Amino acid sequence: MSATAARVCLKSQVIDFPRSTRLSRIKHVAKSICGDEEQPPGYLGHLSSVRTGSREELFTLILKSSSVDLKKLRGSLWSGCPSHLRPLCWKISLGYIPPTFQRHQETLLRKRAEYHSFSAEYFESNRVMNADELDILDQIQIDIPRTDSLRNLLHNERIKILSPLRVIYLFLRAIERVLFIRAIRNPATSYVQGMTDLVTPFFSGAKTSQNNYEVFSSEIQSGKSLTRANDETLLDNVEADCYWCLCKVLDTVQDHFTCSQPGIQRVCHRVNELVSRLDRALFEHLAREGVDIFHFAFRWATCLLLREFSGMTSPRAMASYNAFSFPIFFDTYISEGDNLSDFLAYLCTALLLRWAEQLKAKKFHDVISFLQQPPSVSWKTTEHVSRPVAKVTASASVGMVRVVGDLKTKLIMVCARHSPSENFIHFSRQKLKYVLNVTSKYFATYLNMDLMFEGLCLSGKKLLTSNPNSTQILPSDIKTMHAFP
Amino acid sequence: MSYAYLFKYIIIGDTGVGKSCLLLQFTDKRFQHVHDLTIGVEFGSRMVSINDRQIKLQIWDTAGQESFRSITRSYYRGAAGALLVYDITRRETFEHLSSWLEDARQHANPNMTIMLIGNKSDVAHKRQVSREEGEEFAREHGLVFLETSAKTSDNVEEAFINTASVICEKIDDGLDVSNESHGIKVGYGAGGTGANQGGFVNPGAAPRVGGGGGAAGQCC
Repeated sequence: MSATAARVCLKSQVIDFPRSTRLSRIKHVAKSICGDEEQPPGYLGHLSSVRTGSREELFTLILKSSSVDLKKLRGSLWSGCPSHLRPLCWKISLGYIPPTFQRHQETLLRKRAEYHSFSAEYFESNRVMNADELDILDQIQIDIPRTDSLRNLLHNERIKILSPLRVIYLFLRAIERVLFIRAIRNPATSYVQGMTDLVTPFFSGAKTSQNNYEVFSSEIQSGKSLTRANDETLLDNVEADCYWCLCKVLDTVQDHFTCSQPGIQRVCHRVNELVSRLDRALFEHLAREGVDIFHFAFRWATCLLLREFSGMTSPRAMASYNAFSFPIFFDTYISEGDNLSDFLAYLCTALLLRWAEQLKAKKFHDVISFLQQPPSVSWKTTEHVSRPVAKVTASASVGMVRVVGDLKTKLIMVCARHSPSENFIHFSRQKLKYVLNVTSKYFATYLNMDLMFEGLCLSGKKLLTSNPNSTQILPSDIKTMHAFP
Repeated sequence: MSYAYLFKYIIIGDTGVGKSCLLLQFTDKRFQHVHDLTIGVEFGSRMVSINDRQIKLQIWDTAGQESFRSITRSYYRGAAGALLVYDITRRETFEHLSSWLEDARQHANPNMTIMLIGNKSDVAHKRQVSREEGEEFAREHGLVFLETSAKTSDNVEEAFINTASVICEKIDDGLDVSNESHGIKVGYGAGGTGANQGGFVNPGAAPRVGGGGGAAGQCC
């Protein structure tokens, strides 16, 4: 069934519903998505609560339960999580530790011991590696020093100031072991370049406060930090945790790294298809210029866009709150779980659509050069910005496509984060809330995700182009929104 | 900017031999001590002048790791020139040349010009492959050979430009520029000589130009 036919069909279904059913359903869905006034904050609640600082409370509330509600946790994690809670949230979301609090310690002990037994086995001093293993290790050793994100991590000023060279050395060795053991234990993927990028978020941790740089480990809860403690046991635990969490993520995108990278190809095809439907003119322009999605999206997908958002991978001080002080989309990846690949395709598409007008004015060479070094590399939140505008930008959110699974109804949201260096559209939370409200009504009955995506992009685009600088919803916007579909 | 021809190049060779650094030195005239490792392919372009003709080089820099071979192979097709790079300080990168060459012969068009590059000539004290060995390998396989240093830029210009000269000679000898798989595109002008209708090449007519000789096809 073609997309149009599907839409017509779905549309007719909507029309065929008795009015009362339709209304109650919409109401129900809108309620489930937006949350009731009296209820604990739902998704929108999270967004608006970020500004008031209660986001932390929200996470604390979710996490303090003796058995964490995974659905709630993932839902909240989607839009970014306070840095100091990130390690715990990731571990639970990824299924590395169970949701039941009492079993955390026991699981951690067991998994860490298991990892250390691998490590002891593979790196035992009198063990002779075979040629394949040596090749892999060799490759990893060549690649680690030339992975920019890792170097950024280690050149982070705090680490540089506080860490003796030895800690950096230990750090590098730990990363090397993690990647090597993963490769040996997963011969289907083995080691593929790009994994050195992917290991970074797990090791990088985040700033938990102005003066505290913490690593990805549950130990942070006891107030220790790597740089301060210089504690090898701590580093050992961090290493084990990183290994298991990295494995969990790599398992969900396993086919991105198997022979011929079928998963990457699928993401690229998907992006191609989405662009062809969402912005025909852009699609045709790229085709005319001979630009193949693979030319750039291969790397985008392999490194999960970490390089394209490299400006966000450096930890930094955040003026108002720290939810976005990390490559926030990595929180989103974690929360997406098995849908990571799909989400990635949407995210890539959203980026292309964001730059559509610029791309349409460019020839082949410039298109490729632009997309290999896209403006997003300099997207930051607020670290260098001391002007008052910082606060505004910090509370805005990035151009992203949000896929929320809720009652089998999916809602996709396009939002925008402002970057001071870019002439971006300010998308206030209020506006987002409104868009979400309005669109949820339209899309509630649409079960086909792509169609919703298409629809929302169209209406979102119209909204943005008609009124780029406003942070208020105008009557004309509402008309635009209502005009869809 | 107008150009007489556009040549597609690929850079191939083991990982870490300095492919991306060669490209950066050639297109940007700078050296990055550590270059973020290439995933998939990267792209660069530059205009060069061969015997007063403007030639645009469109260069695809490929990832060296075995896992990416299937994607990089698709770039062999439609390449006019290839720089096959090894690292003179790592013998194994030299020993893998045959497998790279085999790959190129299998997936590229037979007219592709291959330049063999021994990179990192500035690190002479760590040399593991002698210049003579490189020359010998090139002679054996009919390649052009140069030792370069992406760091000091020694011979980098030459590597790209000499390859272009060889391709130009091939065009003069009758290489079919209308065949897309040869990696050559006829441009729209050559140094403002009114080439569209003039004595050089009429792009409209290009697909029907069989070989060299006559008014069309005289490159260098």
